[in-house]
Amino acid sequence: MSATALKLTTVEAGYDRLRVLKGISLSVPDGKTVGIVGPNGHGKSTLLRVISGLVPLWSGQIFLSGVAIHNLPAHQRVALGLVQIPQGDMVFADMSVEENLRLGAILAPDEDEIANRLELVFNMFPRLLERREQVARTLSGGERRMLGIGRGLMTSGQILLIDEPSLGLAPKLIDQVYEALHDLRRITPTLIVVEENPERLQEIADYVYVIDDGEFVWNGTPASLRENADLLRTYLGA
Amino acid sequence: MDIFLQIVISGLTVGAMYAAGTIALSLLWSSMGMLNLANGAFIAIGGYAAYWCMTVLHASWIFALPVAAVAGLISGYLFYHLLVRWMYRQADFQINIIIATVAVAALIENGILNTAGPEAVRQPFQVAGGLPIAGVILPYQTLVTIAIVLALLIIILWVLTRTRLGLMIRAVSQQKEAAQLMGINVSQAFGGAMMLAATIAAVSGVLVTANTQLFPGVGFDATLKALVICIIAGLGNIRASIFMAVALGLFEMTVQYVFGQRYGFPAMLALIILVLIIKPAGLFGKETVTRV
Repeated sequence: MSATALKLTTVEAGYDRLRVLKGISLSVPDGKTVGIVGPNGHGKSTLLRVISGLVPLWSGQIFLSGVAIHNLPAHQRVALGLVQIPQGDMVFADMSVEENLRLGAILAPDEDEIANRLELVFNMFPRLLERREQVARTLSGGERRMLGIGRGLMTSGQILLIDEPSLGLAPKLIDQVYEALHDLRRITPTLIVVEENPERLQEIADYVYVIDDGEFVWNGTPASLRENADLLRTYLGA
Repeated sequence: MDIFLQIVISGLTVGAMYAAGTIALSLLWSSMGMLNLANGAFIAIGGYAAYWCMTVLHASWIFALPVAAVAGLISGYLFYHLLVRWMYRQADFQINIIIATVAVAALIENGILNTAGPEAVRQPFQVAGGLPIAGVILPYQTLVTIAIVLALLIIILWVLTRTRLGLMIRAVSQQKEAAQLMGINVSQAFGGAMMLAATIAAVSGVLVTANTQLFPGVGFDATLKALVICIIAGLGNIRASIFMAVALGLFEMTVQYVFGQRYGFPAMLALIILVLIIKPAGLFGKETVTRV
């Protein structure tokens, strides 16, 4: 077994007095992709937000490659290589595609490094190269999702947290996004991908966790999830 | 024709000064959702810094603006780190900061009152002479004022669009959470915006006082007018506020010429009430400006 990239021990968190995460423990090995599935409103996004530091932790611990990070502010976690690609259209709408991508590399040491990463992203998403000067708000939904992923890639993080990459997209676009995620795995192999629907996740994940009401109720390989009809019916409505 | 030119020239001068005060307000609103009513205090600080530099240190007028700018920068830094950074994460920040900045404005104004005295003095930052064009004299003071404001605008736009700090400020103003997820320190971006705004206000303070007089409460009027302009233009829209500043400068001067000196400001206030009734988000504003 390889080293642990990210480890959570009995994490609890929520908003105001509402406890959303009720003791989550998770271990993501280096180079593996972990999928988290569950119905909406059961803590998937909150979990990623807690890991990223956008939502404060109530109790428990988070370790990134063995270093405790749960007391660090969000931007410092990014500097350590923990990067989230947020849900939906969280691109900088009034900036150009290139400015959006450059913001992903705001912590990059020099212009050469930024240029290298831009080339990498433009190779993966030729459409973004075509739209380089265009203001992000004028992109289509699929293009914006690509931009969000490209921007995450620009950070050159060690571990990427991806929040519902298929959300609100037409099936054909979902195919494109997942193709991009497969490419992404070659560059950043350690991923946590959150989805409401387990179907697409199974193609990419090495291991799947099912979350329900702020707790993991099952975990196993994608193959065993497919065979587990009861589980799929009970928690995922399939 | 002479009169028309006079109105245009004085309108452009006050418009240019309003523009400087307005971008300081607009920058903080668009990046932090912060209505900074202590803007006037920074205007006064700039005015007094230039005055101190030229009368106490007997320095050349060339140093007046840089000294005022540095005074503004330092005040902005202190203002951010002593007050704003402890408040901006709170839920009621947008309301609380208005009250807090009024308090800071009063503190600074009284501080100046107690050290420099209440007398209105002449700002020594003056350029004598003028350029005769088409039958009127275009004072060098006017040209210098407009040139400095133009330089300020160019510098601000350059900082916002071409520098790393500017990129950070714009990112935070558009998507605070996404900016954090890119590794941007929101506090650092806010601090930078605060220092930038205070520097602009302080430099504009030199210009405002040079065209009127210098006294502790000098910034109040300028801030009120900047606020009016910001609201009419649509809070947070920097380019529209520059345009509105010049337009309202011309409007005010025209009203003053036609109806008399004392009607200029009331006419502006009447205009803002009208705009707020007809277009609550301002002429160029977006309907949704609620930020959390």
